Amino acid sequence: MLAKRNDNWGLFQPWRTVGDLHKEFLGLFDELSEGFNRFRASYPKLNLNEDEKEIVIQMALPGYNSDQIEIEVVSNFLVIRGERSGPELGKGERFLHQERSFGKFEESIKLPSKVKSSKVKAKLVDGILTITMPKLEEEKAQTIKITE
Amino acid sequence: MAVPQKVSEYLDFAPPADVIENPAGLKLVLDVPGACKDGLNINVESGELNLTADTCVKRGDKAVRYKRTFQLSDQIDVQNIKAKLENGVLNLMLPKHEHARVHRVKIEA
Repeated sequence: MLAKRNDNWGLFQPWRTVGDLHKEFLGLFDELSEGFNRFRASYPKLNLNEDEKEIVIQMALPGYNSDQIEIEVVSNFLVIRGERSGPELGKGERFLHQERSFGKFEESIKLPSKVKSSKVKAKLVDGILTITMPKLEEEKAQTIKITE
Repeated sequence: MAVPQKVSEYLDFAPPADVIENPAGLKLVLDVPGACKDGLNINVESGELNLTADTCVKRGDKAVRYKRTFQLSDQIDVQNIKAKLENGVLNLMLPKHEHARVHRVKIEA
């Protein structure tokens, strides 16, 4: 092992990039240093679906517990607040790379129609928050027949 | 959540990752909201760790899928990689080989 480690010592490679150094020192290398700039690491944050009866909003909240999320419905506005803290480093641990974000967020969404605030339901499964909001009667489409 | 069986097309995302080093190895933490155990596929082939996670989340008629590849050094003991999925966060523990770990040598007076 030592011999192998020593292999590079005599080599001077001025063209070596930080990425290469990264690779050697971290022992782990992917798009982390190169490709991360090419295509940003992400996931879809929000999804809104509606039919004539209800509006369903899905929000990606990985690593959150239900007590870290607050949901408010006022008229046709939906407010989602949350906070999560980053991984705690134990003794001898250090970050080599960080892409995930932490802290507080607040998202206000204007809903396409008014909803029954008292009937709104929310659940958190596998890091996806699903909020189901039944629409107010008056907002539902009514078919009107023409009478002669 | 169940993974849809029949999906014609996927929408691939590269999940954001944190890398933490400790004396025993590397910790890889990825945000994969919507991913569940059944849809998770992790394999190591010729020094590359390939990760695919199917979800039940849909965008239009396409299903969201997470995909990312990491290159591992030969210091990683691939036989003993462990994975844990919780609340849409995937934790991977990549232990270093015993010989690659740092051993502090005490100087005796």
